[in-house]
Amino acid sequence: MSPDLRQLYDEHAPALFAFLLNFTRREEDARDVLQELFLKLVARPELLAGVENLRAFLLRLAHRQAIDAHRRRATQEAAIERAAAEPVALFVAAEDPDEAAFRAALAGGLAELPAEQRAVVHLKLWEQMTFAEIADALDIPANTAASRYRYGLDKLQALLRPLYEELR
Amino acid sequence: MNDDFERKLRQQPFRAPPPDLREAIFGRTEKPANVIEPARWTWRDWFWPAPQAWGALAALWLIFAALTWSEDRPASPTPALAAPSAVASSTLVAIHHFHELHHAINSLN
Repeated sequence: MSPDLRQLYDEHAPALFAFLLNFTRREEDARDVLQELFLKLVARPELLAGVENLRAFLLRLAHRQAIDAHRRRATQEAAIERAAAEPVALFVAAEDPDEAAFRAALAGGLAELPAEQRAVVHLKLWEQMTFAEIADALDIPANTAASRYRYGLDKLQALLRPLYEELR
Repeated sequence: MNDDFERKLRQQPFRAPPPDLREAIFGRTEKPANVIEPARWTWRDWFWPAPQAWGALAALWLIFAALTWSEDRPASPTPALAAPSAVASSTLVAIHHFHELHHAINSLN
């Protein structure tokens, strides 16, 4: 067992879990995919050889494995969208009621986005990746990544505007 | 508004992975210290089900080998007619021993 993998887990697992939780909208799935991903790396550490941007590489792997996992269960989009309708605690619970309301509304707004749009929004907002990096991670053209982000953000803004304005 | 809104979204902290997940991943990839390696195969394992029976069979084969060896000795001055009866009686003794051993094996099983 290479100790580097534990370090890798400590550095990247929170971000990967957040992405998987947001993408799959199911804690069980996020957990399973993250576990599967790291067990794969334990079994085949050579996969990491020559990787320059570890976070981007791991997010790419996580995205692929999440899709594979859903394909195994059911039709990918249908399964993810069905799961998206179920409430999931995406964010850390906030003590401030206004903040808690905003987080709940944001979680609800993200659930309304199509899965692939949600993935782009997540990588752009919370991973601060460029559209080129997102395109590479999700196997889509950079233009598509940019347009998905724009549509997703506009939708979130429309949904959250009243609450957001109130909180400002 | 977009920049502010994006900033606001970025500030929302996601939940951390379940605390037990790390151990679930790395705990199961390490061999527990109390795992006992399987013992190496020995002849004892082969004889284990009925060591007495195998011993009896080996003894029987030794008796037959001894009898065969004694038959093949050419130097014996014994008359030609006497030899078959001697061999026959020793063979009968051996067969009798074989039956006894056979019963012993059956009683063990």
